[in-house]
Amino acid sequence: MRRSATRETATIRDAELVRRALAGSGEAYREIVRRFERPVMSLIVRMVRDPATAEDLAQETFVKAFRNLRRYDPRRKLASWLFKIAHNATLDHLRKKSLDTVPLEPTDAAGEGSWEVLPAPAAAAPDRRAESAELLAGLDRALARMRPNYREILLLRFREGLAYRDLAEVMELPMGTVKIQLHRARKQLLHELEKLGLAPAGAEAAKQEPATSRRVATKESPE
Amino acid sequence: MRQAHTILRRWLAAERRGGAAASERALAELLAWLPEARPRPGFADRVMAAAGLPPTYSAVAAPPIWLGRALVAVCLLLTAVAVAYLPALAMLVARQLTLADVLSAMAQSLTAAIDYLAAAMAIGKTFAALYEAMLRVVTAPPLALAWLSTLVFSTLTLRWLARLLSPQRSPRYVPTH
Repeated sequence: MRRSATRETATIRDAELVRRALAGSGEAYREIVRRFERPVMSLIVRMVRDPATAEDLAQETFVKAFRNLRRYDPRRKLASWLFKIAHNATLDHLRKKSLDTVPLEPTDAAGEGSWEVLPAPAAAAPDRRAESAELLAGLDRALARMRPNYREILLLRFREGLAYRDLAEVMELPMGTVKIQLHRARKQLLHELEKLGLAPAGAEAAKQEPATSRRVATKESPE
Repeated sequence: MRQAHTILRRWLAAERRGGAAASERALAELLAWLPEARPRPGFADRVMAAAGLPPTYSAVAAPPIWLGRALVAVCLLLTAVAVAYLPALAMLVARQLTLADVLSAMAQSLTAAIDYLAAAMAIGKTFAALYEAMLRVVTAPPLALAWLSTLVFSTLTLRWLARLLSPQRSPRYVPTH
């Protein structure tokens, strides 16, 4: 019975799920958590860089959402609404802890910066994942060095696929500012990748192939 | 499926060209490669508890009330029809069977049960003989030694393999910074 309930709730739309939750269905609440726990956690953990804190903030996000579920407008995306709550919770936490970006020096591997992960969705074969592990670690490092607001807007836009309008709503910014911040965020990511040697530095070097790409190009067929 | 390096190269090329749409597409593909974080198991339960919601609920899966009522009505109707036919069926069975038939059937069943028991015992004896023979062979000193050596070797090999593979298969991800 429980399994069939889960199967059924897994296929229904977000707005319907909220309607059922408001009607008193605990299974609908659970499905909301199941559906959004990973994107919410992924965003928060990359913002606070601490898995335990991230989980606490993710829990706080869902609890706040459930307590204010009546305020949810079904015409809006549920994901955007949850991201907005997560954004506020994370911002409050960062303000309290005065935590800006991660230190540039390496930290203790067992402490800050480790979290449980699922394989990247695009990564299928283990050998391909291994080949890309170095680059992904670098990409994660570059993201960690970025300004938190740039990092967040980049992740929300390009990882979670939020539209400009949703981004403006989540981050409480005018649409024009969102576009400017996205542009700057892309530039900063590029800059951080350059600093880490994952992208060619400067305009002159930009004409060349990036070091990592050159290394892999020998194994891959050209695009 | 494109590799992360290829996508990075494509993103960098698009950035150099100033192609905003291509750049955004490539960057989205690149970030999709980043591993997804997940909370520890039981997260939903903890959220439910913190929000003061009941831990389990199955109202979502419950069929509509009218469907349930219709099903109950159909079941009751079928039961009523069956009950109405029950005396007639009992009379029919009683007319067909005599006491001698019943006794004969019982005796036949008993004989069949004894036959099955005897067959099972014969199979058991065969297995017991096989077990004894195998035990004699296995407990012979040279074989027992070989068996023990193989066991020790397998255990050590398995432990070595497990130690070799575990870090790679660990769900814990530790960034290098």
